[in-house]
Amino acid sequence: MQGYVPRLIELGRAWQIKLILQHRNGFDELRAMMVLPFLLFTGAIAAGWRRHAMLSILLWLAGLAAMLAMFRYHVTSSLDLAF
Amino acid sequence: MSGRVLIYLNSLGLLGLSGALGFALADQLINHDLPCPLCLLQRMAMFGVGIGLVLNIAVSHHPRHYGMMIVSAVLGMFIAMRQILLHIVPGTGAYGDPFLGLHFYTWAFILFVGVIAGASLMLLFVPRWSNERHASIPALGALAIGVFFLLAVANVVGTTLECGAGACPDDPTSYEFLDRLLGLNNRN
Repeated sequence: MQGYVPRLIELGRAWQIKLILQHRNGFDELRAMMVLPFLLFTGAIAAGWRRHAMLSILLWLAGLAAMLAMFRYHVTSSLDLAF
Repeated sequence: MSGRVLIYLNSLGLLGLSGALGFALADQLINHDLPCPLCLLQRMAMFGVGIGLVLNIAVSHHPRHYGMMIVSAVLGMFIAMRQILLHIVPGTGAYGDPFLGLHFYTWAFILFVGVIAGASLMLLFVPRWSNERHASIPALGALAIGVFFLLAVANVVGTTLECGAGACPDDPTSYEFLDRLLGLNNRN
């Protein structure tokens, strides 16, 4: 258990540095963390399975919000349609 | 319609949804058909739909859970429609190989329409709703939830290997994060 703590701190520092660098570069890739909705939905499924309905719904809502953010991030090009 | 029948119907629905997600995952692993960001968003919407089913199976029957399914399916339908429209003009290509004559995003659109219709029919025809929690989860329900959960974990792993902790490329050709990791390992 004790071995995990320094590793977690190290990981946290690495993420902090990444966040600062990305902020400095004006690079907002981290905000478009594609795996985030999947993580939230996995948590919602686990909570539902454990019969924690309210937690499951809250995680589902958070996942949905993250999904909408991803959709906005990825849908930038206009459709090539002409009628 | 008794509570038991509703649980079995929801379990079968969840197994069907898991079948579609499993098929997409198998295609990704076997045919190396990497999912694009819009494809991943459609998978997410399917998981959103499934969470409503999980709650119906594990907790209680509640109109709210069907509402969750409909909201997720509407969002998924819009995402699938967006991808269909991207490739609707002849000569603009398509993403991935077709299955039974239709591309996966067209199948996803059909699936989401089916979910909306199914959930709406359940809301119409279930005579009364009870707030009572189910006494237990039947074996079929537990199996369906277990399979669905494993698929969610597989998608977390797959998306992390493909995109890392950031945005996915629009037209992915390899597991970029995995390549980066292997590249680092080679350097060391």
